[in-house]
Amino acid sequence: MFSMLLGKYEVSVSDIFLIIRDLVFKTKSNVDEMSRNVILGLRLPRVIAALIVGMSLSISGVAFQGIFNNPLVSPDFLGVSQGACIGASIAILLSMNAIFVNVFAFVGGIISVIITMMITRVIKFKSQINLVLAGIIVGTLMSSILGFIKFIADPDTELASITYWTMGSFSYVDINVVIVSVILVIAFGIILYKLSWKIDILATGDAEAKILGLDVMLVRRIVIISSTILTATSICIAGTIGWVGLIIPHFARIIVGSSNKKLFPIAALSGGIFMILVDTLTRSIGNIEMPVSILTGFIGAPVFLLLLYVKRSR
Amino acid sequence: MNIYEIKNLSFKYDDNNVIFKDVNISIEEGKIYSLLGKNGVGKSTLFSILLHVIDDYDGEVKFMGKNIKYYSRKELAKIIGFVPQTPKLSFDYSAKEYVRMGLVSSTNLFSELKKEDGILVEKAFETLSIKHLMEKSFFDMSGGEKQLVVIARSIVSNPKIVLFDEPTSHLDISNQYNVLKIIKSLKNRGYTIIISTHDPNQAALLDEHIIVLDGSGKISSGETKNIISKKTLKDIYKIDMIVENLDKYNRKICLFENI
Repeated sequence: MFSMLLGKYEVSVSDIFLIIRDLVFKTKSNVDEMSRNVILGLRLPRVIAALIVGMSLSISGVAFQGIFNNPLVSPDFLGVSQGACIGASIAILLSMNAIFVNVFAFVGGIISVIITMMITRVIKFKSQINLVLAGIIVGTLMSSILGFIKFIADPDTELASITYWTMGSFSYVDINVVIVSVILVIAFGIILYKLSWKIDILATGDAEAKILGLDVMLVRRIVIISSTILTATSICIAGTIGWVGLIIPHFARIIVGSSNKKLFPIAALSGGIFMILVDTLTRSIGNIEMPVSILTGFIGAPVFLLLLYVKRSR
Repeated sequence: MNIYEIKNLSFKYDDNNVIFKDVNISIEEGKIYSLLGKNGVGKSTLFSILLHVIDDYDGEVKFMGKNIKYYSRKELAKIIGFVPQTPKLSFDYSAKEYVRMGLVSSTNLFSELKKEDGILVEKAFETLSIKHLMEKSFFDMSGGEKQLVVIARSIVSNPKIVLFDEPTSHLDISNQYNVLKIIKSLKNRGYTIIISTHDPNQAALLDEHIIVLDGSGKISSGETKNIISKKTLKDIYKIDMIVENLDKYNRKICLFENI
């Protein structure tokens, strides 16, 4: 609500209430049409988009940390972000329209994770450390490809939009993408939530979890697929946004402990709120909008430090 | 009845690393077996075969009358309890949550434990007289407390047999005593037990049976009082040891000669 209040065009609090009420109850209040358009056409989708992005990044962060037994893992661990960036920049390079940029990004992210998984198949080590290595290999390769694309891109137009895209922003939110994302986040969020206890058990390590009777490979595969789709979705909405998938799960861990059953909802909630807050700030500070990743880093790093400090001194 | 019946078991990691050659051994129900052998002779490999984690061996492993290959992972998890050498846990959970994990074999992919499973968890803590640890965080527990909680997890699904992989190797003397006492009490409750240990004195204390892995690829077994002798210890550990009778306690003790 607060987030919808802020922006270049002024809309009063009461008007926002009326507009939302009209939307929910199909009534028609006496509100300036311009305000209505700004709120429903621009700000509401944007707030929902930020909420969805924050939620999906945080949920997949929690899930990835759980299945890799490592609290320092973030959702783009298996290369989904880099892959998505490449997909998007190819679309930009080919002067495709926004929808195709999204589709390319989504597919690029998924392909990148598939390549990572295939490498681990080929190497055939059973430990999960090789998944980490494969992630690093693919990530490095993808960064180089992205560098190459940037190198051949037209510096005046394409390069700028590729760079802007890779830094994340909510300025070009497409309402259709948002609607699809809401459905995806609910669906895969529920799947992950239903697996939360099984993810808990992975904390005992693969060998022990298997002896206890857990189908380790199956759980891990479902979690990787679901989290990758969630992350790819968020990248489609807003480009790559760093930090959120790492610090929000941490923040949630400090509040509710390690049980994934509690972590998923708390991380989703705080991630959503955090993202709305950051987005509101990006469009309130200065005259031009700042890329979201810059702010998540600026806010995330000190908050993270503070959390660690509070945790230690307790 | 025999819990395990192993026939003509051979297993190697590669040609230079042959672990078992044509091994035959059986494990009787309700008995306690101590597994003695130097580091690297295959104690953990044997456990992996008994747990059916390793399955690319030659020969046959029968478990409760049926080839172990015909059991599902979940079925085995319900009937075989396992206590690893060092319990691993990447994130902190309470002892109660940790023990609950031992019941995962009774759930489906998306289902969770039922209310009545809580009673099983409580019972496992009661059996070991460690109810006071239930709410304690795993990371805050001492090594000894952790090991007791891991044992509670291994018996929560009411298994037939519990395998202990060197359960006392990281514990101080008093905790070793506690854990051994609990292992013995589990045996008295009817559990079949196999425990690998580095200390022949523990084997003597636990009594009944000893399984010897001497590094030749063969496994021999026998009653504890017959196995613990100067000669077998020399065969196993390749050093001379003093073996004395402790008449008052009706068992043997093993000591180093001078160093």
